[in-house]
Amino acid sequence: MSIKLSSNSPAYKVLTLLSSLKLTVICLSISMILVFLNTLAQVNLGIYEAQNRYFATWFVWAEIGDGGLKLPYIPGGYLVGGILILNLLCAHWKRFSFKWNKLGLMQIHLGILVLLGGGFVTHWLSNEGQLTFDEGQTVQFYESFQERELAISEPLPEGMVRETVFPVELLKAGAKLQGEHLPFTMEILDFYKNTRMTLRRAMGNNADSLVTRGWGKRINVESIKQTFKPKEQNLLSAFVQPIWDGKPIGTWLATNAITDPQWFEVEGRKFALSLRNTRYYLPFELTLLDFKHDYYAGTDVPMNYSSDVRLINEELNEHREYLIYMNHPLRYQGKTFYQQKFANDGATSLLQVVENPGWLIPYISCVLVSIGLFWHFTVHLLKHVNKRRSG
Amino acid sequence: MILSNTNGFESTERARKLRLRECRDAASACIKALWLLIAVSCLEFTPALHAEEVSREDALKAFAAVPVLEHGRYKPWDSVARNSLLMIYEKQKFRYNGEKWEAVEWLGEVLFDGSKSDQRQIFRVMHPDVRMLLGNEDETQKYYSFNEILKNLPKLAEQADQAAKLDVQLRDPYQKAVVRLSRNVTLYQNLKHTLDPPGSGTLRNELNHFAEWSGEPLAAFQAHQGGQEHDVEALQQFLRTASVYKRLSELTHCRPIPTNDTTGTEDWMGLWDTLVKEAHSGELPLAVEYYAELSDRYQQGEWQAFVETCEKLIAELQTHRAEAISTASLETMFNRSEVFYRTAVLYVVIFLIVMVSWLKLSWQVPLGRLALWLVTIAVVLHTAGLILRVVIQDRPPVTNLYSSALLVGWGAVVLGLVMERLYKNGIGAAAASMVGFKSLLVAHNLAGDGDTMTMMQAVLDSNFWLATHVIVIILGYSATFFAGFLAIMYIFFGFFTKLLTAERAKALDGMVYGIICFALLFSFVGTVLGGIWADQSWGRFWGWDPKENGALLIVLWNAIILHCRWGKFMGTQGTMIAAVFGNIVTVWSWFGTNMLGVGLHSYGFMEKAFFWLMAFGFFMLMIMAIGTIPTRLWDSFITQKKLAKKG
Repeated sequence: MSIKLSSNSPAYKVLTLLSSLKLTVICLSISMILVFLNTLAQVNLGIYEAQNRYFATWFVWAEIGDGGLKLPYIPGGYLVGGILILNLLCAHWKRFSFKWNKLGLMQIHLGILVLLGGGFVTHWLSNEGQLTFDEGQTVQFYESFQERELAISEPLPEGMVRETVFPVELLKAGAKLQGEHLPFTMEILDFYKNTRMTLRRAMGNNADSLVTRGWGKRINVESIKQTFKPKEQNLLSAFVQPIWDGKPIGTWLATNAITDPQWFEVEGRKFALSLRNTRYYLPFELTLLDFKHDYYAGTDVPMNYSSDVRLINEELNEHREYLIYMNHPLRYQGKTFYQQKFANDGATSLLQVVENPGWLIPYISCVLVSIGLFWHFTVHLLKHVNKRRSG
Repeated sequence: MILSNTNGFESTERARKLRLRECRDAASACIKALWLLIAVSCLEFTPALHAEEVSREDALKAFAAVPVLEHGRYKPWDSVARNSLLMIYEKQKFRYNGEKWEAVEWLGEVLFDGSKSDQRQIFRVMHPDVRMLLGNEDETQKYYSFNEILKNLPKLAEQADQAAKLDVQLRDPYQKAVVRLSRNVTLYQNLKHTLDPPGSGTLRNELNHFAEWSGEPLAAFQAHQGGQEHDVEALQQFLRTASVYKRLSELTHCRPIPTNDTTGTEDWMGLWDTLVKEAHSGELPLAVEYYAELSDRYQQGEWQAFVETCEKLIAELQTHRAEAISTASLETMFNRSEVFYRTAVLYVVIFLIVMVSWLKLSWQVPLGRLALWLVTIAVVLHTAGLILRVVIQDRPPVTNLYSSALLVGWGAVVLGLVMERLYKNGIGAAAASMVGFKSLLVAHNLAGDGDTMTMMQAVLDSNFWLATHVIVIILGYSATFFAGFLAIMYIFFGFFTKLLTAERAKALDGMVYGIICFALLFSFVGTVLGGIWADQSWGRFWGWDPKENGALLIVLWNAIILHCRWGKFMGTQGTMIAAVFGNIVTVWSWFGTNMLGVGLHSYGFMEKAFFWLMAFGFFMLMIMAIGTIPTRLWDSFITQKKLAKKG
């Protein structure tokens, strides 16, 4: 607060602009438009993609025609959120003066600052996915909803498996991928983000196929437009060729449409190839002991469902059992496991796994803003009522 | 001079007091009359069971409170009747040859005398092509009997199957009508076969048949199962009947018979399931016998005996299923009170009273006072209705769109009452009654799909955060709507009439500002509570779900209005226009987001409301357009200017 700026200096002008109430109103209005457009976009794009295009971006781009020409037409969430944070900070810095009746107002804005900041923290640091297991099954990983990876697993002695994974972002035609523990180089011949697959006839029609090994030989792959609809899934396809000693071993088709791993041997070591949802390994094990579900009598509306799980953490020598059900997740080591849904008439349970280091921030912010709003409006209401009474 | 002046003052003072007393008397007389009305209508509820002669109507009113398990919850037959009739006939009362039948009277006939009810024209068919499908040449006939439809049932079923394969959004009006009619026919058959055996037999005959069936044929079946020798004929007979019962039990969905097993989900069963289950023991629960007796009495027209059997049945249930009895009788009372209908009427009366009170200066005080009292009574009634629903359902007040409309209205009316107490100028009462009436009208239209107290998906099952989140967010809707309607009054009365005096304009400005503050508080806190709930249930505080976005829009819009006011970018006129736009934002958040059919919150998709939403939005835009006309052209402001010049 010791900095003094002359009212003519450009810095002062910038500060005035950044702290102006007009800017606040403009940003709030653009936010409204963004939120509305995002909601509409969800119909075709689904929540995840719509979020990427409207909020997790500096600008929202419109595609003009089919030529792939893209123009920004409205600031995106990063820009508007960023300016709002700046605007708040500047306004408070410039107009800061402590008064009791302003306390509520300051608290509200501090809370909103925390909320916006928390939003960015969550956006960048949180991770979520799905854990699927059948009754009696033990798992040690969960899978991402959106991300995919090309995995090469090598079984080691004593039931261990060594995995080398390449995120799909690396899968580009012509890319040569190497891993520390891989004796070969993996060359990507071609990669499609979404494909339509048909079975080839048993005879003929095989001449144009790149694939020489594995079940991919029987499948015809055709590239199609990516889909973002919530109920549809993109079927990624990669044509991969392990090269060892300068020579290709064969060409495989890897796709997330078929999860069966495909095996091959190099230097007498066995490797399994698969394209799958990105896995996140847990430093502990979860076993599904029992899954239960009930319906309301005489209806097919589910009343409740629950997973009885056993958690084993060998490192900490921890063994415990826990019942996960609606609104009662398991929280352990910064991860939270929620009962999400079930499949196979109750034989398979699906848990949503969330890891969000910033989860507490919105709570703090909300308490700040709620008390602030309440304080501010009550002070004003009482003033108003007293005025009316006396007047 | 001075003396006469004093006299004059005294006389006006006395006249004022006198007038006040008159008003008070008039108001209290009105209130007494109203209480009397309520008392009388309460009296109506208790059927005259022990009157000299029991009529069919009385008898079925006694039957109305008997509980039954349908769609996962206990309810009285009365509710089953009302909800079903509402779906099939699209009214809660059935008109027949100039007679008005209560829903339960109609249901009584369906349950106990199916062949007669098959002839009643109850299926409402509006689409001309569907009428043609039913083979009717008289195209003006709106209502059809089951027998009339039965002739063309295969054709109807085929068309309905075809239409049902399409997504709801893709069906055209004909397909929708066909699906609806076919659903209603199924519903009717379901109800009919709850107690009525197929063919022309009575329930009594069927029970006799059951006694026979659980004898030799059952023994033959058991022997067959054990691999022993048995009578083939008897086995065939057993299997035939068992398959009939099985088919009937698949047809019906009402479970009127409490079983001997009080734990688990099998504590109430359908009649046919009970027969299959108890075949081995041969001992049927007492309730089955009572239902058979009810059926006999009904067909004989012995109403006195019918009522006595109802009482016996209720007494029997009371011993095992006291909870169901108390819920059912409470719900019957709630149904008969038609409390929301009565409240809606009261809202119209209040609005008219306020409008009349503004016509003449001397009417303002007495009628204003009356309006204040009536609003208080309306709030009491509205609250009582909400509390009854909570008690009956044992759930928080908002479980679906229907109940959200009830709460939106309630919130606005309470705000209106507070405003009326503070300002005593009729504005609060008028806006409250307008929003109250509208929301009850919306609720009434949302109730068309039958039961308004359906069970909720597990995800939405009761939870502290959910309950508070929903209530607070809905009060936020209420407040935004209330501010919006005050603004409509400002623009409408200001532009078209002379009623917007300087005083009223100032009062409205203060009210709208205050309520927007309140709306911001509630919509923000409500949204945040929703976030907390989502974080606890799904592990994410915010997910950009359409409903969440909708709530955020309300928060943002209210924040924009307030910041514009603080920055003086907007005066009274601007605030009013913005507040009207708040109505559009709120309606979008409340209903529009549900229509997108995406996200976790799309708990109540409705198709027919689309038109009304568009109409509402258009109307709001019109009001906003009028609002932008410079105030010097507004009737009220022209009048004020003239008065100022004269003064």
